[in-house]
Amino acid sequence: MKNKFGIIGGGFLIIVFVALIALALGSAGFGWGKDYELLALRLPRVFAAVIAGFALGIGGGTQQGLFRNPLADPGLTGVFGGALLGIALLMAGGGSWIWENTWAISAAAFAGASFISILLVMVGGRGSTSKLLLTGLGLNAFAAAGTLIIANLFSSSRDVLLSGITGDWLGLATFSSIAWPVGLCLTASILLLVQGRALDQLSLGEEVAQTRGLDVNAVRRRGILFTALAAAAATCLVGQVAFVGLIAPHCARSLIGPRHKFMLPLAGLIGALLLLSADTLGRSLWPQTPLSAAAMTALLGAPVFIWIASRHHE
Amino acid sequence: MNSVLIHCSKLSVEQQGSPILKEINLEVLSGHSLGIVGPNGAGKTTLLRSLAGLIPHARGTISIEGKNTLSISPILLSEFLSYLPQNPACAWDFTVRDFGELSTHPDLFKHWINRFKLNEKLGSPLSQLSGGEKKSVHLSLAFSLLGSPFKKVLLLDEPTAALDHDRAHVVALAIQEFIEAGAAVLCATHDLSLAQSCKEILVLEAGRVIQKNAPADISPSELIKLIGNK
Repeated sequence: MKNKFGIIGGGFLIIVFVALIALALGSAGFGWGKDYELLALRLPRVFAAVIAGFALGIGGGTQQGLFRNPLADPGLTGVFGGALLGIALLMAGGGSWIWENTWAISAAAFAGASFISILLVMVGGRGSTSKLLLTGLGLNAFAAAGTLIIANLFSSSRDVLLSGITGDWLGLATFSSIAWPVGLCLTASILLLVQGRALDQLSLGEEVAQTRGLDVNAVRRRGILFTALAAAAATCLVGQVAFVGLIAPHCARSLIGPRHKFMLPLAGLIGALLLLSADTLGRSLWPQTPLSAAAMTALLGAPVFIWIASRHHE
Repeated sequence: MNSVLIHCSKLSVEQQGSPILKEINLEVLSGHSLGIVGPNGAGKTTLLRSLAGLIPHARGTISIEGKNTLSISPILLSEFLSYLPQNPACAWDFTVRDFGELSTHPDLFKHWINRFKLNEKLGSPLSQLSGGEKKSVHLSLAFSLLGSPFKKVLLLDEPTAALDHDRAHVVALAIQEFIEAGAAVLCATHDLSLAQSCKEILVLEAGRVIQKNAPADISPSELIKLIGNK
């Protein structure tokens, strides 16, 4: 038990260390600039990456727990796509009003993510891994098509939406733009962390969990709703970013075991570390043409996904 | 005087238009064990799942301690019973110790783990256990959930499948201890000796009760035939 708290504490310290490096690294070299102006510029971006990664790690761990499936991930199951479609629809109808009311962006993302999550559960939630992932694939394609159509029809929002699809919004982070999504990410993370014991009971199967007094439907409803909230708020900060929610819980289980009580907080910390490292590497290795955080996480995540899939048995 | 713990009246279940259970009438007293036998597809698992409140569209009435299980919430129902499904599984590679922490009575879980001679495997993940050892872990969890204050009903679906002789004997002894403490134990089984160790045997065929007798009233050869072991 002490060891588990030690691992979680160690993870937290590593994030602080990497965040300090990320704050000092940039196209101008290593340092915080005169009067710390570069620090002030990078701080919201670093903060947004840490919080979004934390929410995605916990959201991915929860979705895997709910579906009892190690290949579930809000990115792969279309929830991010839904969030982005929600934002696209708002941009199509909202005009310049939305930039003065940034809470509306988070609300639209949440509505889109919830819509896709509900469809995912209705169509692919009960069945094999392949059914779940194929349903997610279809929903993701549907949401991406909708977003692209809107980007094509409304030229004013085209660039923003295309950079959202490629997960490139961290560069736009300012303290005022991240306030709402950061608050929602933290709220969703706390709400998901307290589901740990219920997710452990669910590991034994829905029927067994029910006979042990668990209100299975309520746990599923809460888990899906709060995961959609985490994914939507993270989308507002980063854009679409797959694989963080897949890799982070997997690494956490290897380090600390599968009990959700410990696995979820560590998955959050690993998700934060992953997204922050990906963003920092992407903008430091190629300062003139920075690579988006999503591209970097995909570079790391795709091989891990293939590895998990090759070891997974129905 | 033993009281009626489980009462079923005209219990019928259909799945996709096909009848699985047909008008089952059943009473089980406290301090009694009932072996449910019959060939594959006779409805044994469906009967246990109905009693556990897992088939909400079941027709008829089922009551445990006078409470209609088809109308009370699963949370309330869980206060009366512990249930072991036919193929218990865990989605993640929990250790044996993790299972104990899932129980509301970790001390009782450890007691049963000792009885199944798995005390040296507390730190082992399930993936490193044999099929019989995994089954014993699930049985320990189900037994520990009878807990204290004592839950009254234990529903076991094929509890000795995959177990060796010694561990199957632990199950038979456990059932004896539970009924002596006043519980009602129902187990669906293809295990001849387990069925014979129950106070009564209920024979199902094609969803109907065709016989309910004390083991002494059914000859072993007839029982083998009824269980479905040709």
